[in-house]
Amino acid sequence: MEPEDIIRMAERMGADEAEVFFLRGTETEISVENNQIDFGGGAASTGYAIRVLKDHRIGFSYSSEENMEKAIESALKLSKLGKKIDGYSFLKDDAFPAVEGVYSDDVANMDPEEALRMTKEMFESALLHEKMIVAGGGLGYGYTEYFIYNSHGVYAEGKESEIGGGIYAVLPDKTVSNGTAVRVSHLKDVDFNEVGKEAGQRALDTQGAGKLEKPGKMQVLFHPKTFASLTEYTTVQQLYGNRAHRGESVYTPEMIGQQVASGGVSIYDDQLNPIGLYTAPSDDEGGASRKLALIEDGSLAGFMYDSVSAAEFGVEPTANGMRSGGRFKSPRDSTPPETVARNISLEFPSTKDFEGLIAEMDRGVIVYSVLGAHTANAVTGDISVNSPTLFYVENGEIKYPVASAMIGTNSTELLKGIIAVSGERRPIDGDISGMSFIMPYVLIDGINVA
Amino acid sequence: MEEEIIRKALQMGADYCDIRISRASGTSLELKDEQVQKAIFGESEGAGIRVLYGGAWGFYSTHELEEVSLMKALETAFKLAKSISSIGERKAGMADVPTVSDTAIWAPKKDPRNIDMGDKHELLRDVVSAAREKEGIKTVSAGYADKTVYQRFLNSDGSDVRTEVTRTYIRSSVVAKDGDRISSLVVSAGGTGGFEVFDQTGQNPIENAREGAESAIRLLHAGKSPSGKMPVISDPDLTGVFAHEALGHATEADLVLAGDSCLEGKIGEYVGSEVVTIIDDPTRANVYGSFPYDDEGVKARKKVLVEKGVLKTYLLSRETAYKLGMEPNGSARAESIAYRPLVRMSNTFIDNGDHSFEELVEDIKLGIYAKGSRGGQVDTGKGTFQFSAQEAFLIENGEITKPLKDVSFGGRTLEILKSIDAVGNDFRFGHPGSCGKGQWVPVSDGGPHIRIKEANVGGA
Repeated sequence: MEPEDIIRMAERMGADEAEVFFLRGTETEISVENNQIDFGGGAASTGYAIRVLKDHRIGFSYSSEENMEKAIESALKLSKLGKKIDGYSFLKDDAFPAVEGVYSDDVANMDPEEALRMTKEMFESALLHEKMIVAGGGLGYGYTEYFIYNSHGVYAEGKESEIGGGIYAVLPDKTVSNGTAVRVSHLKDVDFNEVGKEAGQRALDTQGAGKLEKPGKMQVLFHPKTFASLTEYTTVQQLYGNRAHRGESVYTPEMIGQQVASGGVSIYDDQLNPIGLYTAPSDDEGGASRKLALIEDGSLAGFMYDSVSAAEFGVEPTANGMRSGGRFKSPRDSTPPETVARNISLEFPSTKDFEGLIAEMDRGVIVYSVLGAHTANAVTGDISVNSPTLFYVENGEIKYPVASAMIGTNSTELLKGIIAVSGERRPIDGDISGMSFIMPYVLIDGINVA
Repeated sequence: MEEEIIRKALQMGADYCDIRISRASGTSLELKDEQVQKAIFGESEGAGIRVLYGGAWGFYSTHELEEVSLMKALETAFKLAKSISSIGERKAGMADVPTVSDTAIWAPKKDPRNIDMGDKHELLRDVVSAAREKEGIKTVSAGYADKTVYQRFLNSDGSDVRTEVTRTYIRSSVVAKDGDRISSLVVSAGGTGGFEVFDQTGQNPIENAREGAESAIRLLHAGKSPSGKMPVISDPDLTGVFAHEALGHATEADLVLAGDSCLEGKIGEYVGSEVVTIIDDPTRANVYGSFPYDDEGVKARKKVLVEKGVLKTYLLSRETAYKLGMEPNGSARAESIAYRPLVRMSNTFIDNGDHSFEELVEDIKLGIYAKGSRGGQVDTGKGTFQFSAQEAFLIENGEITKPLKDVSFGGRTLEILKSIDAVGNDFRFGHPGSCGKGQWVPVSDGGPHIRIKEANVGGA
């Protein structure tokens, strides 16, 4: 069925407006378990999602192509339960920016034999010690494409490829230590042997980890993935328009322009950055993508909205209407759009390399991973996490690995304490699906570590 | 068509092949206070094909059920297995089980497919109203979901199993506020079946929401917890979470094989005190984690994991049983046809003992009564855990006294199991939910009240 035919069918059946979202993709993964590769898997998925607007209420359903009529009928029936949103209409954007550098045939159609070779080399690169075990990990690659079409004639489409690899290495030697490393990209431009080496090296370096001798307030250098996790469950949630308007955030719309982070710190939803994992011409409801300022030079600059929350609070949507669910196995055609950040990017005017950041530290820790980031309080931003992988640094030198430490802080305290970041920024997949980050190493002063 | 795929796989030289074809449909509804946030109807279908060749696995799934798509999926799965087998000696295999042909349709009594969306909406509104009755409740969100999955499993050994299972579920979360004090709480109810699941003990969503609201209000003015080593009484909800998280995961054979279980090599040994018996049972009628056959076509059965303190078995799939030289016990589950089956739990619980609640409490001079779980961390390899209770009370001189907030307790799983010195006689299943292990599957857990002689208690 052509998208136009689906929309016309919905209108004939009684919808005032209709929208169809289509998603298709394939994925292949090679897994490593216990120093063995013995599983390769994949999936091809397709699906349609329908939204109808009737009497100012939205109805939603998802289906395969064959059952389209039943899906529309169900969406129309469900619209009766929906909340009434006066003045709401599906989006009317008609110009979408071109996006380049997010799709490559080399990734989308990679030969499994090649993926297997890469996986084998990656995990063997982690075996830096005779007792090292790669307990888990693997390599996955594939592509997704989508289109969105609605009653206003809006048509947006996008296509992206993705390749990612990760290794979890365990070293049961004098003590049991472990190391994790993950990298992901749209293109075949990552050296996955480095991922293996990084995980193995971390497991080696954390052998014999001891107690943190002098707990207290200190500098903390967060690994990009770690800073992304802490932000994901706090700052990002607080920058969702619906939360800010409902009083479920430390930020309110009245605070725009106020200083909320240390000078120079900017946070964007950089929806068009080619390294961002959710870079596409539009969001999942046909809103034109942009570089959206959330915090600029330390001051609160704006919030994220999907089309429904924007209509409710009388503002413009910001191309943050994303459908939750992953890109592949739980495809995002099975939920209606809601506000989700796409590529949260932290920028700072001056940057240093990793060694330069360490040199900057008189007393502190480098934190490579945290447990329990999801337990942070999204409303207040209070964070209490355990780090099982960290190193103590004094006078610009790494002194010793620490087995475990508690970090107690708050998201606004983190943003106000930023003193330096690395020049290298990495794309990082969020834990919450539909969200990603472009994150540097971040050095923060005055954090409680015990 | 399915038979043709299996024949073709064997022709290609596969050592083993299975195919799962499924059709699923369901509705869900989300309410925030009185407003509907989401109302969803959905249908999906698809197939997952798994091939064993030369000691390696290949798997591929598709949402398109035409012959050409299924053949392509088979070819891709076969190619993956063949490539992997070519890089050296691979060790994957399948432990033998008798072949089976069966149809198990668990027809719901009050089928949600025949219940109007308006009635589901009304039930959810009643849940929200029940929670809002209490003064001080600021917001209530509630979600309803039902899903019916028909699946046919076919393999090259000759098994052919058709199943259909419906699950119905309601979850509500309440936020209470008094000045600057905020507290929140989540409760759920549900099971395998239709609306009749809400008639079971402890699974009435309206009563659960009301009790959740009462707890949230109490938490507003709860005091700080003492910390240190002390006795802990855990309620059926928290007992269940302990059985699932701390012990259950460590019995999963894939974790044992990966060297990530503190129970490796301990079958036949005492891992807990003699009053502790822990069971995983997917055959319990109407319980959320139940299923008739696992995703390798093996009939579901009750597994006594720990009997009077002694570790009896692991949870095993055919795949892991082969590697461990053990017998499969029907524990292979996949989230959907898009995933390969992994070793998973079903309904995991500590079995009933013979003490009344009063008997458990009466000897305690200073201790904690902890209820429900807000989440926590478990390291199955090191055998350590830490849970935060939803709600807790101080026990002083054999009496439950004042409410406490932000109570967590933890320790070494095996030490805690040995430290359980009395088990109550008031078994029930707790709040049903989903267990994540790269894939989500519905599970339930429970138990009676239990007394832990000594655990590490901490406050925030």
